[in-house]
Amino acid sequence: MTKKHDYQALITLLLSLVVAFATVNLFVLLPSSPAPLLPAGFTETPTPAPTETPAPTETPAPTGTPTPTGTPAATGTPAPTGTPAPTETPAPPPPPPPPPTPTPILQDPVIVKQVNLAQAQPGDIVVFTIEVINPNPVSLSNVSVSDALSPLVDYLSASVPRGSFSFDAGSRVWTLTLGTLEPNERLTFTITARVNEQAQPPNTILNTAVLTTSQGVTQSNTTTTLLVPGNLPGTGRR
Amino acid sequence: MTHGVRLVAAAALSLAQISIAQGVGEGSSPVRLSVPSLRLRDVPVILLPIINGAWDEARLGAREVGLLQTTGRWPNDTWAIVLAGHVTLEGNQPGPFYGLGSLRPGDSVFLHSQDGLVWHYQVKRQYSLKPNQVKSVYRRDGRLLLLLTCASWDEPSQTYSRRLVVEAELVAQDKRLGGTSAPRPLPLSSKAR
Repeated sequence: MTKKHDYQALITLLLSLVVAFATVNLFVLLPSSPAPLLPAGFTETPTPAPTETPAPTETPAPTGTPTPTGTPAATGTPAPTGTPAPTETPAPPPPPPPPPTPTPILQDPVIVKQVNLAQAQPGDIVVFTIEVINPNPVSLSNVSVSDALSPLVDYLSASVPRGSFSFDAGSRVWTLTLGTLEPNERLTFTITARVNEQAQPPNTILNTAVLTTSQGVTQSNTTTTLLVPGNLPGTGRR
Repeated sequence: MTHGVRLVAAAALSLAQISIAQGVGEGSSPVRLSVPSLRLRDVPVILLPIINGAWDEARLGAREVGLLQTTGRWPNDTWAIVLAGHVTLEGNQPGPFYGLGSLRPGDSVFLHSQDGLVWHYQVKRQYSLKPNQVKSVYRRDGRLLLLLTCASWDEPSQTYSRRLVVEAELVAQDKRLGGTSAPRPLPLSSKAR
């Protein structure tokens, strides 16, 4: 073996060492893949381990007589394209609490009205029974009930389970202020009046109540009381 | 295509419902009354209006019965029909309802419409009322017919102190063409009783 051959072998060895050193440094110095940015409320799914990680298998051997011009760039070394296997699986962060979503109003509140007399005559006492229902799982606010009484009846009294009421003699409007109607709450109250002398058959006493809430206005059914004569017809002559 | 079929079916159903409604005489007021057991035949039925707060009985003639305004207007209406007739006339002559008290359960009563429809009622019972028991004749049952007249002559006051009511129930109706066909049973009413 000649001296020239010795030098070539030495240079080849050095080059191999340099290339190997550079390859190792590439693996060590490459930053680990940053965690993907996830939207709030999502948890990270662990990345499956790559099934094949191409390992640097060959260092290209220099052909011919290389001129030692410095450390060659390790361009021929295939970069690992797969995600390296995670060495440590971080515990997934606890899911953030869901933002408070307001429950929608599913149904209109209900107001139903009844009257105790289908027929009436002057002097009769009529009792209007009003029922309001909140069928929703959320409360309703600014709740009030109003009832414009017929001029054919005179207001006497009212009975309510809660809230405050008033009767305006000028407008003949009776008003109940409830404030809040709780979820699924059902309230029943009564208004009592007397049929006055203006009530003459065959007229009818009509009455409708109105429920007002922050969600809007709901009208009740209309009750009808027929005014009838005081006596059956006389059908005998002598 | 399906939509068109549905439209046609809906139209046919509506027509059928109209026919059924007309078949039971809804909206057709009675104009004549017949009570065979009282030998009453085709007695005119007039409307007895409410004037100044009372039924205007002065309109009721010797040969008529009056349908009280605000009671039922036709068979199967919301309310029972109430017909009032004189028991006696001037000179103590018998009125059309003179023998009303002799009716017994099962006796037949017929109402006739202007267009030839006949409703067949059967007497169920009779009872008397005070003159001021007006609400008692407002019965929420359109199959009922109440025949009303005066009863219990009170000599000192020279008035009738009671009102006799004969209650009959609708059992059949018939579109009588020439008066030869027999009444047929009514279809079951959809009205709540």
